[in-house]
Amino acid sequence: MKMKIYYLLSFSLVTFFHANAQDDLLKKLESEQKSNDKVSGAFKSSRVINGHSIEMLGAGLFDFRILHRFGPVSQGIGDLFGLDQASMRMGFDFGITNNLTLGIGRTTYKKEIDAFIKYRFIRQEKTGMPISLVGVIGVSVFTYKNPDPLKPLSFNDRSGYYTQLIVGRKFSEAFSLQVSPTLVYRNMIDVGDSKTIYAIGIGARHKISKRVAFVVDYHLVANGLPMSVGTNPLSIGVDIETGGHVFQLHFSNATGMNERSFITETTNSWTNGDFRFGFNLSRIFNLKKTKNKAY
Amino acid sequence: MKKILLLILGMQALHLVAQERFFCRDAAIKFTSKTSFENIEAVNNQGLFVIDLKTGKVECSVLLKSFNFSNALMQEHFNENYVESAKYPRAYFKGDIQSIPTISLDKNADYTLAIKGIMQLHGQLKEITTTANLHIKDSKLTSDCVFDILLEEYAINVPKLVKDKIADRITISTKAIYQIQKTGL
Repeated sequence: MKMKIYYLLSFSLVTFFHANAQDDLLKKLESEQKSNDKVSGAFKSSRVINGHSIEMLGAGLFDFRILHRFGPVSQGIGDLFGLDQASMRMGFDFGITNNLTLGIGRTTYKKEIDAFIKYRFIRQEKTGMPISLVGVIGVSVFTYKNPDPLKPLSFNDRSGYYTQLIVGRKFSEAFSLQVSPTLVYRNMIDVGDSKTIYAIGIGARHKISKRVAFVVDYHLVANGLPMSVGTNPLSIGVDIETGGHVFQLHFSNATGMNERSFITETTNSWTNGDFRFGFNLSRIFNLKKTKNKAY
Repeated sequence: MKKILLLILGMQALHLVAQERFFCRDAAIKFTSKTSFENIEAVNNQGLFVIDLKTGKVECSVLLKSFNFSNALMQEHFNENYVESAKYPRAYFKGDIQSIPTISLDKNADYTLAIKGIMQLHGQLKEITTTANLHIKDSKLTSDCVFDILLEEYAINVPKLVKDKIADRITISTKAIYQIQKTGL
């Protein structure tokens, strides 16, 4: 009898350990596994609205961007609330690596060509690094003919530069925030204006659903702008993502579509009701045709 | 004396059982979506598989973030919009081999096994019945398995705009090379 109990005990012990051990083995393997800790999707697009976001283009991706800024909504029904006037920027961004993007674009306003290099120094991680840090340097050259033939404009006169550091964090699945100290340098300025402009950009995103997000993009010009002429650009809008497209629909007091232009040449003011409708359309193409070799 | 004997017996039993257990840390899991517009494919080489030839228990666990797409944007959308990997980081399969044949590592052979179990993906549980192939070659155990899942069964909604490009039925194929679990338990 005693013997039987022992047998039974040892048998049940064996099966018990056994059943447990398998579960444990999977758990053990899971705990040993290094997971991809990188945080992605802080913003839907590589721009908050006007300014660069901490989001990068993936390696091998090409982003064709069409931007439109219309006239002031306050013009009323006669101008279809500003839609009769439009300026436009066509942009081509290339994801060279996951951390390096090169871009070039041209804006109808002042016939300006701009180019930039954007590099991600630090990427936010789920555990560990709490922020992403991105740097951008860019140049812009306007190519319109000077209406005054006696004063030809040199390349130097026409060019402007900007550089910015973007610090941002995806706080939750829905909410992301970034701050971007920016320096803009322009060679051609109005009398009494300063060539170097410092600005602080603030960009925020709040997801409304999986594919729709509410975004705000604000740049506080910290020095140098004659405030009777210039105001701080504030844009408020929604991002709608549909597969390879991102539509960024917004209202803004800024017309400019590159850093030099929207930071230093925003003259309309929200408080006067001078805001405009605009949109960014981003279409992403995959240039890289690599096969998954590993399988 | 009897107790010691029992203990030895018991330990041997444990040992034997342990010998039947195999695991794999780098199982390849591929999924394919085929439509007339485009084929989408992603591979994960970090699947965790545990298989017990004694009890017939099969367990798999895979990190969804580790699926690699050739298109970085698709990979982001997969994680952000479809499987929501921040909320549901892993997919699981836990099931049983329906009738376990006697398998000896000493003999090269191929087995076809019926497997029934529960797949857990995107917070949803769904029963899966499939067949898997088990191969023994030079004392190495490998397996491969192909089965289909329906996206709607896992509450993965594809918006109308891209419905033509993403198949309702996704084919999942796996390959694994196993190691024997070495420790006594």
